[in-house]
Amino acid sequence: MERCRKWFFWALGILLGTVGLAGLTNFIVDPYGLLRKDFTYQFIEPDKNFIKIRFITQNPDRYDSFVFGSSRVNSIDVRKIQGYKCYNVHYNGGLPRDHLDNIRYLLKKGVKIKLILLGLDDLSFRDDPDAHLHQPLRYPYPPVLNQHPFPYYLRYFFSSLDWKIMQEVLNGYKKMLFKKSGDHPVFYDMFDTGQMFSYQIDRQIEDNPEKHRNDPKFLKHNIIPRNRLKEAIKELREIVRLAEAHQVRLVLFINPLHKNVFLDCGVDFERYKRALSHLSGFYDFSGLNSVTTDNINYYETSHYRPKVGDLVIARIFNQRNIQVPEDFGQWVTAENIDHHLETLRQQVIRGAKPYP
Amino acid sequence: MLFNSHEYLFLFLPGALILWFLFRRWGFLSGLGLVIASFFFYGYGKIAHVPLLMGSVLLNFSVGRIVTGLPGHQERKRKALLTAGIAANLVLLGYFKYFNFFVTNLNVLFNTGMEVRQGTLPLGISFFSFTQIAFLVDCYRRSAQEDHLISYGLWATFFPYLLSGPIVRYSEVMPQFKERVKKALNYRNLSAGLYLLSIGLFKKVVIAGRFSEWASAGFDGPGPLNFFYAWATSLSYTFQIYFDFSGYTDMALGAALMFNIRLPVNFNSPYKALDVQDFWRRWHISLGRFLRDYVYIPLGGNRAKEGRAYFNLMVVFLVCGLWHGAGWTFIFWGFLYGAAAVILRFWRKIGGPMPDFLAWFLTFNFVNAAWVFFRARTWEDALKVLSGMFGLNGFSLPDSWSGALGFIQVPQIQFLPWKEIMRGSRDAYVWIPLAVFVCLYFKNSNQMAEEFKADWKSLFWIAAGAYAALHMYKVDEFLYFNF
Repeated sequence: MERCRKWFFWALGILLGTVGLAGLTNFIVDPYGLLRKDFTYQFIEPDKNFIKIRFITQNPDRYDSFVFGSSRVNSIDVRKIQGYKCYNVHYNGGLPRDHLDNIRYLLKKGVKIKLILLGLDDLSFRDDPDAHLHQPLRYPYPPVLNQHPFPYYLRYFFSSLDWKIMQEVLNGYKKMLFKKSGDHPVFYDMFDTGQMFSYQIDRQIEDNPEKHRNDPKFLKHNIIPRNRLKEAIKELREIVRLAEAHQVRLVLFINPLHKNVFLDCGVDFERYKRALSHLSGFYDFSGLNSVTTDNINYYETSHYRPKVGDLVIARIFNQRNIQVPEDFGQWVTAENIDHHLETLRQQVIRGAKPYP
Repeated sequence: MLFNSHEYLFLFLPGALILWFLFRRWGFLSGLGLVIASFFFYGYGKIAHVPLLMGSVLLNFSVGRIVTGLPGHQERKRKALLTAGIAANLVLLGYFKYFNFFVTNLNVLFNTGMEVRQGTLPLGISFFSFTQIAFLVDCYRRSAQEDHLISYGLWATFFPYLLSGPIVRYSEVMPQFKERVKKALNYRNLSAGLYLLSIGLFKKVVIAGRFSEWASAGFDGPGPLNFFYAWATSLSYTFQIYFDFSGYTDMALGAALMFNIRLPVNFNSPYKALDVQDFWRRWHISLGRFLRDYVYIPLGGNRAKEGRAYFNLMVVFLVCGLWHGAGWTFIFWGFLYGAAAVILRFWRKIGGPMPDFLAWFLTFNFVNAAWVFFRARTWEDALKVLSGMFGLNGFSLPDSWSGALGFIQVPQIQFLPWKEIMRGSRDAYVWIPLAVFVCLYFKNSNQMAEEFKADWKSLFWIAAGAYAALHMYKVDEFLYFNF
């Protein structure tokens, strides 16, 4: 029995020691920033879905308008939306079902919402929101799912980091220790605008625009075979209903997708837009227009740059001080959807290079 | 609460153990404490179903008490009460589990517009209903009797088996709770329990978790599937469900052992089985035993005439399929086993010989193919995987083989990059043979726990458990939570 007693305490030591060590490391590193007040030394993208919703509910009167969407809508600069106290709630891979849950939760917590700007794209009807429940980068704020945050904190702190993430964090610390300060490629303004600013990358692009335009990364194509159109439209219908019920001005728009992404979307995207037009009018910035066909407007094929975001704002809010190209951003309704889709098809026939 | 969660492993289980052993001098208090802990365990995450469990416990306790209290000459009354008690359990189960299936089929058949029930299936309802039905039958047969509600509640809701079994009998657990010696802290049981729990956690989180990625990619992803990918998909699920459910059972048995309670073994290397009957003696043993004792034998079992025996076998496996899920694919899965059991019985009757290897090969492949129907959400998904397994979608071979095999000019054979053939499931080709080897040639976890020695070698499994605990970020429900 004595042998077993010793063995038991050894076993307990191994278990608690291992998990405790992981807990201590995660508590110090806080990889996805759940406890951070300052994101200066944030080396991997934080869990914005969690942090931002928690932040808004802790400050329910600070904002009255919100920009929802995936990381693509990060370039919608909320400071340029006049007449509203606006916050950018985007997060990596944000999907309509998450937005629906978040909006419902904010309304339940008494946040008074005047305006919602909801950016949609191909991912909105392709990606599975259930996957986010397994991803620390995208995990929602647990009360949104009617859960207490405590079990999630336990899971977050007492699980080991993915090896690649650990390397990124270590590299970040190495840079912080051995290089000059102020050379962070991105700055997370989590507790004011909600945006992420990439000044350093923008500078590099502007220093040599032609090099950027011809970067081979813009040759990338990515066809995603998944499709959950029916569910995504149902979720959007609920968002529209919720907005009407709470007298919220809801503006839906399709992000200005890079030409390659647009060409990869195929006929499913048309079906999506058609179904969307029957729910609500929306602005469509996708297609082969003067903005989306110029690589200088994009960081890579997925994310457009802030100056494109400014054009989106100018079109939606009719800001006359900014010149918006005429072919950029169409107001689409159930009445003109057929004509609009035909125009986009003609653009492809006229302008698209042969598919690789 | 899930066994593979931090709050269970590092807060709830230690807390319940401390509570149990701290109050062990006062039997009533320790029992009450454990009942409350079990209800907390059940209601954690979804408190709405706690009254349902409470109602079920109260109802079965009352019926059981009345049935045992009635004298022998009131046989008709006893039988009527037993029937009413079983019916109440089945109505509850039927309402929560089968109502929507029934309504959906009615709507399709008669073009009616009846509404389906909203809400989720209460966790563990199939398990606690069957466990308590068995109790009522045992009360009627006078092989069980319980006069104290707390003791009954302790047996009916003991958290290690509450959600996913094993389906225990009153007579195999309750006497253990009542033994005084069982209430003393026993380091051998604590150690062996922790050892078994670590093995189960590793099986669930590390092994089943890995296989689940490949199985989901194949079953839920876009089709069609080529030959190799379809086999990788079906075999991945075959091993996922084994490591998932047996891992869960190991954790249940391990946790119970820490309380000095020995639960019946539920798995005994099922993939070593040489026929379907042998398989059901090794897979989910407690369910097989329940169906044998409370369905098959009352129907007449083996002693009935040959035709009737075949019918009995088919009924038992159809019930088994339906118990697992309210869907036609589950019923068909049960039907497949029923048909296989009938064929086996006939084969034995005519004295057909079968070498062991061939018997194993046929059984394993039958089980693997049958799991396809069990896993598939729709018939289309099942046919998608099966058509790939039968080569109906062609045979894609790695393009590196085109040099050696390029002379084969058949349209069904094409050479593609390995990545494209396996769609990101390349590691499955290492894991699957490894899993076959482990399942066939290694001792199973129950044998390991029986032979447990408190030495450094067994600490290896604790380290494996610690590794698994660090990888519990992705909290997956156990597959059998859905049944």
